[in-house]
Amino acid sequence: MAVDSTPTNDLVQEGTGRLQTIGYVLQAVALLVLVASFALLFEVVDAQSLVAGQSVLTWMGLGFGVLGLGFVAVAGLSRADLVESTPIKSAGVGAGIVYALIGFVVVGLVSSQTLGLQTLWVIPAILAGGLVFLGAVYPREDIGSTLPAAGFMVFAGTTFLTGTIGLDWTWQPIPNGAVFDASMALIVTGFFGGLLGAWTAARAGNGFGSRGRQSGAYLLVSVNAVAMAALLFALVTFVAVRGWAPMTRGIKTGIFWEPVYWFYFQPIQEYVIFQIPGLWFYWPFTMEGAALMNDINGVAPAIIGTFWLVVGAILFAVPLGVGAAVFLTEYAEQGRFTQLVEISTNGLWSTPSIVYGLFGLALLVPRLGNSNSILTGMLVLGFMLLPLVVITSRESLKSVPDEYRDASAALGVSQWQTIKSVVLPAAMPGVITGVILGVGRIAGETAPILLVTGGSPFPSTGADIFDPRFAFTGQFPWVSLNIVNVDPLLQPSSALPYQLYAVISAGLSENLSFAWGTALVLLLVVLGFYAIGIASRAYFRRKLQA
Amino acid sequence: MSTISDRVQIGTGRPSVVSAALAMTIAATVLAFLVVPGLTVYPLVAFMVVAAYGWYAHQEETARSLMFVMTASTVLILALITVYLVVKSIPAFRIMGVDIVLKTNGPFWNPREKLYALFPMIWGTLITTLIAICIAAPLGVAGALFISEIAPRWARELLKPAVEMLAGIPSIVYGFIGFVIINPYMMNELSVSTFGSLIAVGIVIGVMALPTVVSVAEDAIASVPGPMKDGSLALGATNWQTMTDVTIPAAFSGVTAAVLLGVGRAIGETMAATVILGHAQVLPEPLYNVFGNTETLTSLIASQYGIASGSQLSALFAAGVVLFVTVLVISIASQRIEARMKQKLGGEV
Amino acid sequence: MYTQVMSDRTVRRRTLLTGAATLAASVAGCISTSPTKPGSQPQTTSDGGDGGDTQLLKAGGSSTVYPITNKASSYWGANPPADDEEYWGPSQFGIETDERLANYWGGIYGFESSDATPPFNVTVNLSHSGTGLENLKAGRIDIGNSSAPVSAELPEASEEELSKFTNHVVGVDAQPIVVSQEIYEAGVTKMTGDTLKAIYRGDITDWTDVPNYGGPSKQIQCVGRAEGSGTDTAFRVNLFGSPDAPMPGVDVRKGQNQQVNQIVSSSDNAIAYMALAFVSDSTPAITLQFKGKEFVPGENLSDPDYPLSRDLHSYTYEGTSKLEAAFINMILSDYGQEVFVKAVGYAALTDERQQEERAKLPDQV
Repeated sequence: MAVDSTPTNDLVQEGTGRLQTIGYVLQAVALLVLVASFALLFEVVDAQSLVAGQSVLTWMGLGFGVLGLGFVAVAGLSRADLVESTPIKSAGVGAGIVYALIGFVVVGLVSSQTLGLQTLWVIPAILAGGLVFLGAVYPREDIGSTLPAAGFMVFAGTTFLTGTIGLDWTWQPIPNGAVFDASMALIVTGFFGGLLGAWTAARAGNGFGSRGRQSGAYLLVSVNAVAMAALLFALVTFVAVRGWAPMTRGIKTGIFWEPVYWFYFQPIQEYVIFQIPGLWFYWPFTMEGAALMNDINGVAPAIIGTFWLVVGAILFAVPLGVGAAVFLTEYAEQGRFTQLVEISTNGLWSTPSIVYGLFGLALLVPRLGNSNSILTGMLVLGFMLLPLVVITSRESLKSVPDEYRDASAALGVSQWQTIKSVVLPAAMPGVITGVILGVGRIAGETAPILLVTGGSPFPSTGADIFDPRFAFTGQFPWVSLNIVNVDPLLQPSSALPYQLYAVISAGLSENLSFAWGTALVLLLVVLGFYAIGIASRAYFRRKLQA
Repeated sequence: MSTISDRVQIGTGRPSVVSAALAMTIAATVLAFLVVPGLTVYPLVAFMVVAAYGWYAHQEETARSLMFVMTASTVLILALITVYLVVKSIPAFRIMGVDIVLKTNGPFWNPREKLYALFPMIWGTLITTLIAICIAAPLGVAGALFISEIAPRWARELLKPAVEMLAGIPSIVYGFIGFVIINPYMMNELSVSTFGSLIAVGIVIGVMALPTVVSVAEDAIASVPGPMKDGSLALGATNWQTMTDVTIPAAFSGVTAAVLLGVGRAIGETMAATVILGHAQVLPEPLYNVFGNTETLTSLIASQYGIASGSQLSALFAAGVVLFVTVLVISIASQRIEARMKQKLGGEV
Repeated sequence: MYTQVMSDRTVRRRTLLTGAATLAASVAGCISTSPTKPGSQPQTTSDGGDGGDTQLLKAGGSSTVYPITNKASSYWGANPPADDEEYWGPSQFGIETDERLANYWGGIYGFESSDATPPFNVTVNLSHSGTGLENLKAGRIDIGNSSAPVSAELPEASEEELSKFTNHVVGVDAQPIVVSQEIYEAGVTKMTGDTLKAIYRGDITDWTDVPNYGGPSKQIQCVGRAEGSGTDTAFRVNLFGSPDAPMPGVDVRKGQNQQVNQIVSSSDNAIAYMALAFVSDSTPAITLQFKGKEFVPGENLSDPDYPLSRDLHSYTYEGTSKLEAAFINMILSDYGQEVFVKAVGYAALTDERQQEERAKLPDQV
């Protein structure tokens, strides 16, 4: 059999060698520019701080210059077919619009600021935008998508390197507004320029065409996702770092000996004491209130308040919500009534929390003791929790397979018995998960608590609701048993989010570390609920699939 | 899904005394609570007695009626909220008339002279929501695309819970960070002349609305049927082309619903705005000055509820009505869009 | 089958839970969370505040009066013994007693306590004068603090309603004008009353238009207080002559003195009216020239001529009960004026006014 000597093309062209390397290098430079702009934003460095002998301004200008020259080189190489690339006929309208916008903005800025044209700057700007659009769309893709970007990079590079925007440049675009300086200009240009450069470099490095566009798009979307994850991480770490020290101040632990039984032992004429070890743990920030004689003030009353509010809200909302969900999925037929209920559930779910607070203020406060109270807060938070419970319970009830119900009916069990002993237990995990997530949300709500429960800003003791006391008395019925004090339910109280708000309002000049500690405690509580809810949801989902 | 009641006959089919008694007692309780709070206890006790008897004697029936009552309660609560908000805000509408939203030149807010115009607050809410959506919508949809289409499995497992936790951070913590970090930054680095600005609030609210957009859009994109995407790939399109030309158009209603929900969340955000802004009820000068310092509808209510009484309190309720109506309309719109999407794609989400 | 698995799991879950519960109960007996290590030294403070039946005195309102009443209430709650010279020390004020602080002052009006628990508890809310007076009228609190007279705070009230409020003046605040530190260092150390009015009316918006200013052009950030606060009301009355006078030049309104302090110290272009207790190095007070006379902070601000001085009120509604009187009496005494009023920065009452105020209190038991 003769060896087939016709050249074969790969089905998908992988790795175009030189071009891809150039692309990676340019991507790296562009991402460095992006990182530098973030460093400037978060004041890690300053525009004039020196890095390896040159100011950051100079380095970024150089970066832009490298990108610009690199893009020109890529365009030239591709046009001269010195590298393998698969450009299509045109860079596309999308890219054209992006470049046209950039041209519009740049020329507009130049003509209005440097040339001083007051309102006429629109004309050269539009002209420039149109020209750039044509320049991007008309020629072949490898020129049309790189040269405009190169133009922008070179322009930016020269502006910074020649000192047109130097270290003492300022600009106030909106009267009475902000004043931008060189750092800000670097940040904005670096951000957009870096993203643009990375996008173009990704396209170019993967040979243009549809593969190139995919790489470019993937890069942008991935950068976005990484940024979101980094943002979450940064927020939580920031609060944790600032709040850890105030929160853990003064923690003391130790072992102490607790006498458990003793008796008098005659022969040695001494008491013999049996002792067992006990653990002593004192954490001031979560165990104390704010009082004069305290060394360290704490947020214990706020924690107690949040605890009772959440308990009350759960007791109110969960039976009501699960009952409603059961009715909607098991008993009711699709009709006007269920549609109405669905609309109102969604309406309740999206109502702003401050409106709930106003509602509590209008309806509940006058009827429940005419002052702020924990009970009102429980009810309002219960109202907020209700739609979430209804929605998640409905979903988990719907996901219980029909076979369970059919099997139960086949055995002759009535509908209610079926629901009670088959459907509800099967749906319970989903309901519990939904409740936990909902509790995480309402534990962090401030606005309703502010309006209907808020009390003194720095309380020293928490609400004394659970107070089991048992005693023998001298009169009928000869015992007194007290489990729950009702009185504190009708008194105002603090809660964790409200405590943070109160500290901010009370002025942060002396209380800043207290505020950070409170913020960290609140964050831990809320994120703790969320973490437990998400973990339990994943656990039950895995069990269902297994 | 057919219900058991289609296949099994329950009871004897005649309306029962127990259900009627339950309905009457609970209605009496609610009525008493609204009108004569002191007497609420009696119908409530009666309700409990009837419920206890019914549970013991006719459990099937009682259960069904109780569930019906619970369902009706959701509608009742929404109705109560609407009614009470509107009723309490009527005095303000009576004093100001239509000017309450239409007065466009200052002064706007002077409780001593009973002058309550909500225009600066509406403008403030509008500007902050716009800025927030400019941040949340594109970044949110891009994030949703990443999670459902591009990310490898391990990244998805990490990123989805991370986005949900981002949604869980309380708004007061965002407000605190904005107050302690962003405001001084604006003041020192950008020389903004007041402590607090609309753009700071807009950025913070944008970050808050972002997870909402990501979650709902991700659900929408993930619910596009596999065969649709496979067909496109089989024709030789790249993954990205499939996304832009097949997936997103198919999930467009869902994505729009996600953005609308983000808008609703941004409009209703209270505590971040209250803490960051300075509370002067004026229009920023010039009107498009995003570095200006004014009030939003939500921060107005939160900052003034304590000092307000009489007509001023009624004006706050009026602001609440404007908020409530806006968010309700947006919520119904997004619900309609989602229903249409489910219809189009023909599957349960 | 499903049900089989369910019941097995239920049984296991149940035993696990009961085991955990018994373990937790037994361990709980061995865990202590007291401030000092148990058994190491005698407990210095008892668990005050339980018993559930102690009365509660609720005060609240003005953020200006807050430092006074808050300090008083925290001392009350701590109930220091008579030999504690730093916090109580009655002999320094000519009082012969060896009872604890709250026990002594409560005992004067018949509220007895013999141990470290005060005879009743006091809580102080922080909002502002208008809210405090509203809450007082509605019966939600017992003492309403206000830094402006009730007639100015509740302009819609009739004479008859106003007469139900009993006025107790507990101190005097000379309302200073403060500027940001950068402004002070740029030369604005004094100002005339007319310049101040112009700034607050919005006629002057840039610092370069203010005499004595030597720095670069900067917009004036004019900070005010929320309408309904006594400080705001008093400022308008004193500067413009009427509590309703418009102040269109105000850029930022904050609810409490504490927040104003925060803004002025964090900004570099702010001017604000505040309360004496909150003046600090980062919020320097400037000298004011009124009608030819100069009022220098720290020297003659407590002069009766100073136009921006005002009384600090603790109002009670429909008379003064013995509970309220016990607390107010403590603040009005020489001890209270020294420790609660002067120590936070306000001016104490003159002897004459002190007598006058004490005469308003009900007779002692």
